[in-house]
Amino acid sequence: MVKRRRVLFIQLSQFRVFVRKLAVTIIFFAALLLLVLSKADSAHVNKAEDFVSRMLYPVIRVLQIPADGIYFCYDSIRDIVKVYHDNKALKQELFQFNRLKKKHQALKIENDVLSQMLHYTPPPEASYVTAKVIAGQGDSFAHSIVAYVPETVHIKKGSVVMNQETVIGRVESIHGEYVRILLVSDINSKIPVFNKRTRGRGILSGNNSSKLSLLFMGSDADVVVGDRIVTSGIGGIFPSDLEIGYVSQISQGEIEVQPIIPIESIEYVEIVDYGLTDTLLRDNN
Amino acid sequence: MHDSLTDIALLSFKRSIPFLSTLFFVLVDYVPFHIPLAHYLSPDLACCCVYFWVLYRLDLFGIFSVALLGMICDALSGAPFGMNIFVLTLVYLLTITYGRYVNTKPFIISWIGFALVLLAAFCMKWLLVLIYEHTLLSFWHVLISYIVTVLVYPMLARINIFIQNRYLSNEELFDE
Repeated sequence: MVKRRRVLFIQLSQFRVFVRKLAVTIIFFAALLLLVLSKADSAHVNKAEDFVSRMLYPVIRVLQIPADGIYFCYDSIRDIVKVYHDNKALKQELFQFNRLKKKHQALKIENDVLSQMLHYTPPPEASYVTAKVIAGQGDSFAHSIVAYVPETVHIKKGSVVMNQETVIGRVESIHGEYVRILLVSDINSKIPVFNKRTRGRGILSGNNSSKLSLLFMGSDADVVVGDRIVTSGIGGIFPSDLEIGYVSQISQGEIEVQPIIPIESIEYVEIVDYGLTDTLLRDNN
Repeated sequence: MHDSLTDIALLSFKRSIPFLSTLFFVLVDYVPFHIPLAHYLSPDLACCCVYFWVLYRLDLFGIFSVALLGMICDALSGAPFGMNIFVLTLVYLLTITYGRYVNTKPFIISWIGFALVLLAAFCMKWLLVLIYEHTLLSFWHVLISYIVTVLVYPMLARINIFIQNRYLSNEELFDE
């Protein structure tokens, strides 16, 4: 009886091993078949995949709740660390800003004091008109050009005329649509100027040549070749700090200034009204 | 001898704990954690669990559990349907064939065994993707995933050992 049972047990064990091996083989082939069917885009395989997914995705959604909680904690910690670093950087920036603010305040006070000393009046908003040069009259006797401006545009006598942000003259007279511009090189042109580097004052005078003369600078004035000459604003026709030319030669006390823009090459001009000419006209009247 | 239907249900539940715990880990594996490089750092927990349970509790983790798990992995991962069934069955086969060399040895030996089985599984996966998609997967990404899975195995084995000792050590759960 015991022997028979033992034989039966051994036979059962062998059968189970055989079934297991068979199952493994079947599953291997089934998996391969599924792979082939999947590659062939079989509707049945897709349905099976869809069914399993539909069953399991809700579970994953539930599992995602604690995962989101963990991520939220991680994100919060990361945010706190970021805030800490940002705060550190901002503190440093604020410190620098405070330093700059103090410097700015000091400069503003200094500027106000200097402005008061120089009777500086901030220039009003300027209006610009661009006009085409239609005639040039440059000879030994006069240096002026004529520009065309439509009548609808209002131009004031004495307006500053510029080209590429450089002063080239001022409006001398208006004849309907034509505006005569007295160039800085004209012998009648006398412009109060500064040496941009030293702020030393002088008068820039035209002499009907391509070069200008810098007058009344003083014998001991600190002027070197290359110094930029800008308007000083004194006199009220030109605002200050508009560039005109640079010192090209110094000989026997005479200072020559070369205009930045060669007068002969001007095709278009910019007529700028800084509102200062009203004062000039009123004074003249 | 089972006294009531409740006992039978409880016993059935206990016998399915290895499968359910593995399913839980597989589902956790597919939960998005929004971590940079998560795709490459994600360990193959299904392989870890299949290896562990087949090695230590083959009676509770049969080939059909493995096949079902493979199908679930295929459906969740979007991999070619059948690939994970094939690979997990390979893990199963390798484990029952060579498991006896590592089963009663120290943990480090079973860990090395797992590393070797996983290597075969990853090579098979890589080959199947190559044949199926005609695309050569990045060697480095596969290697990183392999290393992460090997490194995660001791921790997962620890949890599974706890489950085994806590819920599955009862004698009535063992097959006669």
